[in-house]
Amino acid sequence: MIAQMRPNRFRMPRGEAWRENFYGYLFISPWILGFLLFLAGPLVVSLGLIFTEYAGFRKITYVGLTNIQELIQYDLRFTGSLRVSAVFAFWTVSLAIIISLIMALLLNQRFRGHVFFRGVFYLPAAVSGIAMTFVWAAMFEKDYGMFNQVLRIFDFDRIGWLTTVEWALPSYIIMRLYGVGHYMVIMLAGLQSIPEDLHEAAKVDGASGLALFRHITLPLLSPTIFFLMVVGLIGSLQVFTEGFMLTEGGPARSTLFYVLYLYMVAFIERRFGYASVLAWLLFLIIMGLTLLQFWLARRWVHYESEVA
Amino acid sequence: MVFRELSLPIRLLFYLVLVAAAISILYPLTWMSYTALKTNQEVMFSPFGLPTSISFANIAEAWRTGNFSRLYANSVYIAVISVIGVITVSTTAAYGLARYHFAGNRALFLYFIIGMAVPTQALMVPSFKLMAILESWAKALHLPIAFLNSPLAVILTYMSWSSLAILFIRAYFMSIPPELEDAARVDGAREFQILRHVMIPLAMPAIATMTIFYFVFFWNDFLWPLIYLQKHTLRTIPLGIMHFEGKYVSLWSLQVAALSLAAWPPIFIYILFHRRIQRGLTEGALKF
Repeated sequence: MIAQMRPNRFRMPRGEAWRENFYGYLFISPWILGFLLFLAGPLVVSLGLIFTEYAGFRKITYVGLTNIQELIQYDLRFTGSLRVSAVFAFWTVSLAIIISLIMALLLNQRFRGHVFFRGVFYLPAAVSGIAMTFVWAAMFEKDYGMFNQVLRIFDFDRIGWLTTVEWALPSYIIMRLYGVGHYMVIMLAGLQSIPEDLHEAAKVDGASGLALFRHITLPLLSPTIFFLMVVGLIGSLQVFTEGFMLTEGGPARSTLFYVLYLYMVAFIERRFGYASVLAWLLFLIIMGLTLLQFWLARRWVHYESEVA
Repeated sequence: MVFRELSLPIRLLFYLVLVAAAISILYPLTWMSYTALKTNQEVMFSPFGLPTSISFANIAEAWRTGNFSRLYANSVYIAVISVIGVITVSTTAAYGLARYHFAGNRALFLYFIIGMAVPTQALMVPSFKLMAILESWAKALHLPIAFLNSPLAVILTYMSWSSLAILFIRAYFMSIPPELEDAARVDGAREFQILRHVMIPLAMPAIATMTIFYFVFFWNDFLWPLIYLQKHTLRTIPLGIMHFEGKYVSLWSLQVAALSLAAWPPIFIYILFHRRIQRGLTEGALKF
């Protein structure tokens, strides 16, 4: 048997095809089962629900394309919520990328205490969630909140952070940017994967610091930046908890995020059919962004191997 | 750019920026933590000042009135079982995908993409319905299993979110040289023994990273317990916090104490494991 072994081969040495199939399927079967039952199944069911009116009880009525028609032609809350989520996603992602890039460039230097600072900057990612949301609500509070206290020191007027139309959405953007350390860690990894000798060679050729950044660091970092853009976009399109806890879409629907609206249609208005249209649209948007990510990823790998 | 070559004022400016950023990040968390340890009078008169003495009165009061022992028990139960489930499923699947050339192995990669692209919120309605159907089947068969208003519904849903862990652990398995398995096979080990005694110990860094990551994620999740668990005895910490904050709106000190009780465990886990979490995430992002 030892004579048969070919050490560098990937497959099993005794590998008859049926064994590969048998053990392969055996090992992946729990995953496939769970996937079909709790992910693919519900997804297909909601595709069917698109064409129905259904309140969660026995009666399901087939209504054809009425739900889709309503979505396109009449639903102002839908267009509003799409806009709120898009504005929110645009600002959080672009600001997060700029801030995390600056932070990563700073932390990429070798100086005393960089491990400490990296740990601190990433900390909010671990505690995001409901407790943090309420802490933020306290910070944004109009009379005693920290933000308005600071404004008072500089003699500015108080701002109704979560209670006015113009400031409610920016408040959520600030809240979201608190988790920027997550971006920073990945940005830092991207920076550290850039080979040191490229910088050295450019410096020998007399490139200044800014030119170095513009022509070497930034292009080589672009895969990481695109990755963060897509992942960040997907994440911020799914924002729900904060909005559900604090403003419930108000004031004047200025914080009615897409998933929040989806939740309201489903579990408050109990219009499961219509909610499924919204759910599938979200799925298609995010699927599209994910495929874009995979497609771009393939191109970057090619690009990097060309450089190296 | 070498840090030591920079002039002193620039280095000082550099530290100033970092310290300012660190303070603004730590401030909300420290404010929450020390406010929870203040007495009511102190919270009233100087809501943002430092405490002059440490008092556990509000923590104890929040623990009692918020029924935190039950909330903790529920949260720990759901998070621990779900993590064990999702990691077991992911590790076996990752091994199957990394090491066996079964028909359709490559095609299954599309599954990952779908699995990761599905916004789980889009599944709220049919998942809820699915649990109702499973409940009625269990009743028809006289099985003593509840799906509605039961932690089981949350656990099963969490367990199906294995795409990230599979991708991550699979990549790690593929970096392990196959000679080690071959050696074990020569010694007469069976497939499951190889996974259990050779591969899992070797892939422990990846598995541990995913365990911590998923634990914190399940611990903080709010939406799925909200949908599945209506009975107040089943509430997890996020749900409990929501009801607590609604009930004691005017009692700020008590509210903040409850928030601290919810936020401290993940902070503690993070402080213990932050290097591993960061290293793991970094590797994962680069492999992706």
